[in-house]
Amino acid sequence: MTIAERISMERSAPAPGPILELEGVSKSYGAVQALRGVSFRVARGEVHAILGENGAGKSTTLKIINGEIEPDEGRVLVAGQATEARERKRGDIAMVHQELAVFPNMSVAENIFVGRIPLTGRRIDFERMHARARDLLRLFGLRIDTREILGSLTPGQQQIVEILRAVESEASLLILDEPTSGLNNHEAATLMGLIKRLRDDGQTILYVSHRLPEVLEIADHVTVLRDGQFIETLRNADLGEDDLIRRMVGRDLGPVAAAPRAAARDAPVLFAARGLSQADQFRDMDVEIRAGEIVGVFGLEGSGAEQFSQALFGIVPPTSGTIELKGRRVASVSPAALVRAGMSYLPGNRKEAGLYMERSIADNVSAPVLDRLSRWGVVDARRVDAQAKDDIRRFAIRVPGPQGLPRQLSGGNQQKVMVSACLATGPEVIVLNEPTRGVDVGAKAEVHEAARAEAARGRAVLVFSSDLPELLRLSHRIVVMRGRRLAGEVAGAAMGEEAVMALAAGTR
Amino acid sequence: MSMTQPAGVAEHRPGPAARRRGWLAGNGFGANILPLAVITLAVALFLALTRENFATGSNISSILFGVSIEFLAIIGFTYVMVMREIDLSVGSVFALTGMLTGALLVADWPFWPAALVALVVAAAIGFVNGFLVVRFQINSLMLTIGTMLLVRGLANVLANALGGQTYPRAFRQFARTDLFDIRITIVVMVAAVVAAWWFQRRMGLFRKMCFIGENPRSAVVHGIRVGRIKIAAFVASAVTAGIAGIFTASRITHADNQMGMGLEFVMVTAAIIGGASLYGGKGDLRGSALGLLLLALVLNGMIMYDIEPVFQQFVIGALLIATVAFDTLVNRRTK
Repeated sequence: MTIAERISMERSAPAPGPILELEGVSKSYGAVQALRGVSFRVARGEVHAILGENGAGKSTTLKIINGEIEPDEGRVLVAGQATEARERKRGDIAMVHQELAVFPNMSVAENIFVGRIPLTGRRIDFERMHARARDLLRLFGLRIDTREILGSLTPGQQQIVEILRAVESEASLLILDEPTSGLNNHEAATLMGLIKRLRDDGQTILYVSHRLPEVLEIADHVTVLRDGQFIETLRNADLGEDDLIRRMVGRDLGPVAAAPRAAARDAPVLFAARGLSQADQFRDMDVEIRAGEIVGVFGLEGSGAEQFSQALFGIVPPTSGTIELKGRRVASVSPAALVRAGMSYLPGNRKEAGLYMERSIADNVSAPVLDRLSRWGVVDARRVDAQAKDDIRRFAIRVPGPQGLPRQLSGGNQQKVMVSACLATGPEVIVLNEPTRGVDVGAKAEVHEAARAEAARGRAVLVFSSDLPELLRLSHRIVVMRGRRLAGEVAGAAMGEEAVMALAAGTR
Repeated sequence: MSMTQPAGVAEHRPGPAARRRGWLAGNGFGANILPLAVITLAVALFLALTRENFATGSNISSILFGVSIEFLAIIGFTYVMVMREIDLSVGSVFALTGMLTGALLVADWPFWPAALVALVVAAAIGFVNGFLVVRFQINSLMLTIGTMLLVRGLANVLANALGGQTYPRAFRQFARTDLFDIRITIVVMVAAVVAAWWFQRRMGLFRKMCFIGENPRSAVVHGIRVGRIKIAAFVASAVTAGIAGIFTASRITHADNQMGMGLEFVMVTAAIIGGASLYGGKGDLRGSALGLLLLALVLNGMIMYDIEPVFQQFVIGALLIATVAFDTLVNRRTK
């Protein structure tokens, strides 16, 4: 049976009722409540978008639907039947993850049929496989040779092959998680065409994205999540970007500790990136920060913000453009040179970089300043210890003592150790990445306080965060990236979630 | 601590106990030295009690002499492992440097220029290893297997050219130089172990190496010059292997294409026994020395028990597997 036949059969006899229903689904990870009582339904044959900011609970929802995790509470009904996670995992749902999961050294046809390769006896029936792959590609108007090696295709074509793999599995629900995040505009348009075509053939698609124009273009219904809660399912008729933005944002920010706006306009520029570019990652980034300023950088996934932050510290060196510190151009953009020139960097994921889990707190906070705490290369153990004790007191790090290991600490305290190390050099330019990812409220406030204190002392602070309310509370102005370049900047009275989100996700 | 210290300062001073625990104790660093010494001593005692040929002056001094020469080669090797890299070319560099020195001496060069040239060649090989690992992020395990074969090829060319010729008499005597009536390499080993103990405890450079081995990405962010330090360690590894090679060439008195064969695997085994890890972040030259001594005792014991010498490789292989397995299990538990 070809896909077309199957689809036409389905269309001729559509079972009634929604294909998927979530009823009061909750899930928490430790103390973090990821989802709270989420309920919505997906009708057969529609494109249903799930929309929400970073951390709104989209991924958790998808994982539950796809049967990767079991919810703590609530039911998930597929075609009217309550199901367990492992049934859904085995069953009728196909998910295309955000990251490519392809076999780059195998052919297009093999990638489409992986795990279900047609056999004659025990031998692979190459002819049948290629013929079916060709049908599938032609059906969606794609001119790709089925014998082509996947690695030689563009990322967009690879993404499409991956989606075809899911289509070929003949699942009745297809989940696409941020399928356009790695694609250029043309490829994204091709993908939109493919999705419309699948919908016209009766395929049900759950589509997750934070690109508003796409969602408005293809979705029949849009479900908005915010802070792990279901907000609303909207019918996509006369909807505008503003309607969606308003529902995505508007979190209760709590008391906004008014960010000091005293940064003098004529304070010296401490940090400047001029025309900074990195091949295929981002282009022409210009950012200036004056002494005493906290500047936020916001970009949704795929905006290039993450790569920009790594490039400006030389972790992955930029391919063109310059960095200036205190008005002087930095000759070699490498972390070691920038640290010596008075810059400091807080990595965004403390599990990957920024800490030494098996070394004492004293070692951790002294790592960037070992040379300063040494004479003739010999470390002064007393000064290391003193510094560690100072930092433990200053950041109220809850540890037994300077010899405790980060591995034994809570996330918030690990983060404070990392911030201590970051500030240990007394840097004049400080780059903070996701400074409060996965930390409790108390630690968050303390980290914010530390950033404000640094700015008040005349340092320049650059904050990259996907937590928009955090940026709004912390920054004097926010630079927004979209589509791997600068989308604009908001400052002063105009600075609000909607204004930032409109730049980051919209078309303005 | 004197009573005249102002209170504010005294507060920052760790007590003597805390200082002794110091940063080393926090991760069990160096904690394996005592048990390892006890095991080594037990093996020695066992052999001394069961075999009468073992505890003779000549046997003991020959074991120590052999260990002290291999020890020279493990100095740099250990510190490469601290940074989560490995240098398997040590055995070949050891052979090439020794034979090159010998060849130059046969060609009537004076000793010091000959040794210097050979060591510069070794340093160049180490630099290439380090540079390729740092610049192109090549896996050092595979890369140095390549250098191992390549340098072994060069060494064999030299060995063939020399055709088993004996080195000049003065050079043959070189390794037998005594200091305080003890072989100079043994004196050097003792001095180096003391120096390493101090280096590992006090020097910023060693801490940086540990940081790099533990989490290179953190080290980069903290402005540590990861690339430079790694290249320097690979150079040191080749140079220390080269010095050991020069002593060995002198000791075996003639060119031999079997020289230094399999030495790299003895080094890995000894270093891991001594506290280094394939997962980086630790390593201790004192332990490496004990590891070499333990291996030498085991091999010597086999000879004492008339076990065929061909079984030596079998035993080294078995010990290598055992130590690597142990290392992996320990690291899996803590991570």
